[in-house]
Amino acid sequence: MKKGHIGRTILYIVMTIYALITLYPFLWALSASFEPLKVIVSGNMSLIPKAFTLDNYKYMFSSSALFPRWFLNSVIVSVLGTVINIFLNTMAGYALARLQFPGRERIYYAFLSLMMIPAQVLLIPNYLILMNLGMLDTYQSLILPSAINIGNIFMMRQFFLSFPKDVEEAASIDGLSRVQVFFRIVFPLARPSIATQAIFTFMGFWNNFMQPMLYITTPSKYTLTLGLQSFTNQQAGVRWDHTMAASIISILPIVILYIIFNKFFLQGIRMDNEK
Amino acid sequence: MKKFGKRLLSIGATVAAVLTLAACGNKSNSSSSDSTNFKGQNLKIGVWIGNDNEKKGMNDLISGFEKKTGAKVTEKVYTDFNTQIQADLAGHRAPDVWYMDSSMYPFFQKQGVLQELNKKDVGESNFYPALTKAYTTDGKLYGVPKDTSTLALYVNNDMFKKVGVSIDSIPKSYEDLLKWLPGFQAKLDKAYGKNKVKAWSYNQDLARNLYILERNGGKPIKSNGDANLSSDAVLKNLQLYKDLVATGAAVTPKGIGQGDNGTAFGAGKVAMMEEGNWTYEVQKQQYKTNFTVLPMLSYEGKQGGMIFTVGWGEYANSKVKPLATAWIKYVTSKNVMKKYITTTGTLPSRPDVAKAADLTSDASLKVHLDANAYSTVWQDGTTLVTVNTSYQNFVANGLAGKTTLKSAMKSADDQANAAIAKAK
Amino acid sequence: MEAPVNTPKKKRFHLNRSQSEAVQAYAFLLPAAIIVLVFFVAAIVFALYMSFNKVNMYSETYEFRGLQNYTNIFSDGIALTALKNTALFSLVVVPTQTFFALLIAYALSNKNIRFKKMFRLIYFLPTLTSSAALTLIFMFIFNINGPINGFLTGIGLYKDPINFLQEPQYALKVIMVMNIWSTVPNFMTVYLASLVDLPDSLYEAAEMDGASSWQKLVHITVPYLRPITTYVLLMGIIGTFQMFDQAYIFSNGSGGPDNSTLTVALMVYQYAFGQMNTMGYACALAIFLAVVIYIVSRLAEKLNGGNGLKDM
Repeated sequence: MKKGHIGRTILYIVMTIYALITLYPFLWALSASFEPLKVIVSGNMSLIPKAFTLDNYKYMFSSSALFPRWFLNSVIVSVLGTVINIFLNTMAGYALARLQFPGRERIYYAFLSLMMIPAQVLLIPNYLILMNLGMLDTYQSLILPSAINIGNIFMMRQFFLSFPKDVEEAASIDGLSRVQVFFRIVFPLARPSIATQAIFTFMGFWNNFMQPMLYITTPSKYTLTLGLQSFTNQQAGVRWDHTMAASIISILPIVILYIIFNKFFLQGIRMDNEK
Repeated sequence: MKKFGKRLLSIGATVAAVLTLAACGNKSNSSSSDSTNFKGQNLKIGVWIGNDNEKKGMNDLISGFEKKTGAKVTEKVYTDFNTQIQADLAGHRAPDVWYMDSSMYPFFQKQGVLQELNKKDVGESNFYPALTKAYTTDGKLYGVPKDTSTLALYVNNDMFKKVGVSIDSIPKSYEDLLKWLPGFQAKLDKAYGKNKVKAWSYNQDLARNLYILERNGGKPIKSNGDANLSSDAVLKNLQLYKDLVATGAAVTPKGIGQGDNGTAFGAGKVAMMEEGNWTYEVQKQQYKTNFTVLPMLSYEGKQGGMIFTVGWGEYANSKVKPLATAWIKYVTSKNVMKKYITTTGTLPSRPDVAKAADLTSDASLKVHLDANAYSTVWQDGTTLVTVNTSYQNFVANGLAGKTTLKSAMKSADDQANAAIAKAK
Repeated sequence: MEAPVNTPKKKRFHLNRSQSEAVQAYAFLLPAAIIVLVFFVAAIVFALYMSFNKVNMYSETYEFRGLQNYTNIFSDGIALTALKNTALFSLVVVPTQTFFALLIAYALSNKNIRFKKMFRLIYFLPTLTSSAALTLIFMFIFNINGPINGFLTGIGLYKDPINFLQEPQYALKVIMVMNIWSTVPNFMTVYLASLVDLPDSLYEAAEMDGASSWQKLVHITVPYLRPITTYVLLMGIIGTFQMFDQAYIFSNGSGGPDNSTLTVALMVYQYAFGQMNTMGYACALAIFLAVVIYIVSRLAEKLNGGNGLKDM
């Protein structure tokens, strides 16, 4: 018993040290967002702002009348994109892991191999495809090409590989069809992995910069990331004060979302059953 | 196997679709009439915005032009110019007029995407000849300079005061500077602690070093575009930077963890820097640095520096060429440019504007303006960017003395030329 | 857009069990397949086409070059240097990030640990910090007068501060640290999501046999997580072999000093978006890189116990 106590104390200490290492750059960015430029670049900024100022945030929020619009655009694209992704990726991942069909292995490797081409050479082909579909400068151009995510399909497949089979078997004995089993039983039980996928996907949409930059030209259709970037891109040296405020503004929604989703991450099948 | 065949078929179909669609876009539209009434027409301009003042200056230009012509102006702000313009040009959706850095101009011109401009019509003779020359190929004009920036020596007054050195005692030539720097650095070390403040910040970048490397007939890039950094004349000039590093008083901004000269200077990490006029307002407003602007130093008996100019180019496939030309003429006309440069704090590309705006009354701006006379335009053929990438890659070890300058520049040449050969 | 729920109708055709399973599988894969065909396959085929040509994106001229772009890769010493850097980067980063992600997830999944949610949130934050902010912070931390140098000279490890950012032998290592630091939380989250489903009974049985925490990790947790480890390894391999932005920011796009931060993806970018008409070569490099990644991934998958399909 005593040995366990010592072990756990050490564990707490290690975990706390790692937490500090992890937290430091984040806190640094947070605190920098409340400092004037001169203090940030001085190199001896402390984590508690010395020359506290809200100017950076005031600048960002007043930078454009379109700010609320950009926020809304980001919410629309990210929420819609994430919902579609969750369904399509989970279905595809489930099929690849749990269903028997001819060509399964070949399709799996075909999907995998598509991830291996570096994005740099696909930028212009993708631009031309969207142009020919008449989708440039629309929300669709941000959602449709990312309506699935092969990495997440792969992740869901791996999750389902170790997903307990007995649950599904019990359900199909109850007379549910395969599709019903998926939507009524498997989907809810896969909550932790779906929540993981959701946060990754949402983050992907929310932070996406390259695609909005290339596809969107009308300022009122900008996403938040693109809009903020257009005010931090400075010729006379990087304006770290504005950049830091912009990055805090743009990650705040994700942090809030993560706190909400945190609950789901820990709700596994077994835990539910045992309660 | 049947499915595999189908997949091949569908791949083939999509390729065909992509290729034909891409090819379809090639038809250039030459339906534009020569009307001078632009009411109802739409002009797309492609720009980048360096700071708030430039944003304001651009808004003034747009509303002024819209009022004057009745046309509508749509602004596209580039954040990653190289990537975006290539996508736009490949898709035939490039703006009717766009910003063009002098270093990029030869490449655009070679691609045939620029419309030749009528020299008389755009008033070529009104501009500084060095700047219009930067947009001229084979005697034909393809761009009009909108403004210009030059380098000057920025000096931190407070630091000089603290160590008790008069600003007047700063040498006027690089040769003297090399001898003077160690003593000055020692005083800085004494006043601020060892290596806390460095005397001088310099850059390992052709955009800043080109004029030095070209001294005494140095030719970093051959006329056929090949890199020539390891030629004797260039190496001899490059030795200057090696000597500078050897004084122990000069650093690159990155070497002290800063992104650029202006940041290092503003943060109080260096006492002197050579920087463009864009830093002037930033130092004054954001960093509240107490500084003096001095002319660039001389090297081998000749003063030198760099000129960075941005011009307006007209898209060869534009459907509203008369309107596009009207825009270029409007924004580079005397009074409009005068208002623009006053708003943005940049330097005019026309001598008459410099005079009208009374820029010479401001001592600091006068230094920058005068630099036009002795500085080199940042431009050297279509391979400059490639050669510069390679230069930045290898120069550090040569300057630090880890390898000889010759072998460092030999590596840079080889790598740049391997890349250039692939483009041929 | 959402899943079709009209499959029961199909019952009329009296499909047998395995046929109906196949129909369901294709239906589930269909939406993904359409997206993949339109946006991925078409773009890749276009890139493939360009890789056999000398391409001028501006004038849209394609000059057929056969395999020349590909043969150029092998006579291009720089490409091999880039590949070597990339492989080294991957070799260090992938095992390290996998190891730490798994270990931290294991610690956090312990039933008796308190403040779990708080730790998880804190550990997840690096993923959220913007890469621009990260780069600035790391530049400060690793600069010649920065805290790392201060600490290491302070404990007497060496006397003269090291210029980590500009010395060829350190630049890539700094990027490695940065990369590991920011990817571990991602993979940790994935591990955790799978670990909540690990039956407690397995641990309890082991505890009754007097197994230590380490033994439980090695004999229960690691085998259970094998499919997820495959995911982490493959995504790690893909991510590291395609590493671009950190190298770009660090070297200002040059891959220097002395090619020490030149990765294949950075080289692809230089050829695709530099001032040269070399999109064809960039595409050939990209396809070549994809083939390398595919081979390495398949090897890693094999080493980690296959693709998981056989044991079903």
